[in-house]
Amino acid sequence: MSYSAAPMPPSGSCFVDANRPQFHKVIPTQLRAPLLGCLEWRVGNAQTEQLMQRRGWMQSVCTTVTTPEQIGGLDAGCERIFIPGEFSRQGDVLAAAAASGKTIFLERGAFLAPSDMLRAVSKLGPAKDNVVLVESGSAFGYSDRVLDPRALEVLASIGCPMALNLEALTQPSGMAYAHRPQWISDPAFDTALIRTAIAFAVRYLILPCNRELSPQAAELWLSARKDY
Amino acid sequence: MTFNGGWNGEIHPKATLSQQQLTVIAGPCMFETREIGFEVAAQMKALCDELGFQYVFKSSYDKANRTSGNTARGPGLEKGLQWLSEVREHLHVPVLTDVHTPVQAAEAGRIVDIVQVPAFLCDQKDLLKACAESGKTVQIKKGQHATPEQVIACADYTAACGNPKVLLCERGTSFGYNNLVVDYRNLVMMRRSGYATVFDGTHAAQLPGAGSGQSSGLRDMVPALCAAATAVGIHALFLEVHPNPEKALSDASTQVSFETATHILRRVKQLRA
Repeated sequence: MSYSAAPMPPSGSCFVDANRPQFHKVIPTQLRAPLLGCLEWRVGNAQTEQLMQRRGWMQSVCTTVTTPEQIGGLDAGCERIFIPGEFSRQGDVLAAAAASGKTIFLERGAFLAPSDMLRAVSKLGPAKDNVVLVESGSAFGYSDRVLDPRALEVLASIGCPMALNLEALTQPSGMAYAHRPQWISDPAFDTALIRTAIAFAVRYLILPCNRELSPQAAELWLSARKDY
Repeated sequence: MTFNGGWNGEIHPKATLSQQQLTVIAGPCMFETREIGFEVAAQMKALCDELGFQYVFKSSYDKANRTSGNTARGPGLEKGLQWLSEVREHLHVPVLTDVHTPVQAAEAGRIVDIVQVPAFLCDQKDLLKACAESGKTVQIKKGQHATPEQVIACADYTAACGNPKVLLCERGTSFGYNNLVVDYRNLVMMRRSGYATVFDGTHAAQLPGAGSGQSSGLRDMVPALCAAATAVGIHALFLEVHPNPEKALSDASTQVSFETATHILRRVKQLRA
């Protein structure tokens, strides 16, 4: 899938409050390529749209969807949809996503074996040619995830472009409750994770808008100008 | 006894959860046919009556998250709810089914006594809210990826939506790829939280996705898993039972036969004596 840098008029009903922590950005590898805004599905919010435009992020919108009804309610201005890992096998959600004609960011559930994603992608039928597989790590006990290079290898073999969800890897859910050491959320790991992603030709990074990469990590990512 | 929020454990006019009397939630994984559903419900009700357990029939109208897209999913919402309604009416037993969207929660909530939130979806707040608003008892399965604290927080959220009638169900935790282990500490934590505690003995024996396009499992481990859960302490035991498990259209590797279910429940009764 090639990323189009052509400006797109932002529009539609798939915007949310930009202050919500679920507000994400997706960073393509191409240097100076604009970011994709990746938004949680909620009510429309023009402020978000304006904020993204102001920051120069808005090129195209990618919104999180979890039900067929949500997908059916998206308008043409939202070109990309993000299906969280928990929903990566939900037949009705995948069928609606396939019928939408939009680019599908399909996240591997942290509890799924990488090879199970081949069957999840197969559920999309012909729409599988318009899929980005999102790796967010494998469940490794409670409140911890590991980035398994074997998973990237298996996902790459499916033939879809890949994204790495840096947020999920560095801030696994349940942190607030469990007895995990805080190093899991240490951004110092960004560099190692990004190096791994680059090694497997990962095309997109996903991270929350309120989180910045360190200069070293950002440089590493943006200088990986491989022609995938 | 009372659970969190002052709930007395009543799930049906004839069934109330308690420490004293175990509740057995059992039925075929998928509601394959009306006949299979009635056969399992009748047999399990008779067995539970004999052993002094309360009985809840379970079955799914839609297996919405099968490993592969080319496998059977069930009769669908309308027909499935009709069959569940018939089992409830004719056999006078409470019924449970799982829901995958807020719309389904509202629909199923009109028919069943317990709406179940699947493990993959245990964190989905819109679904929890819709289940709470159904007014029925809500069973939340702990995600294979989730901590016990997370699922207890989901129960708290459901209760905060105005419905404290919550069951928490342990069904195993991811242990590498294609494997689950049961962390029995979770049952202790769930019980301490004040919510009714359920153990799912058949799904806990699954090997997810390990069967070349389908889930595999260790059926022979189900009796031991159930015995251990009984020893730790639960309010309800969940089992998937099929007249011919090997021929079942879903979870064929972990559903148990009537014979095995009988063996399991007799052993459980002994352990509780």
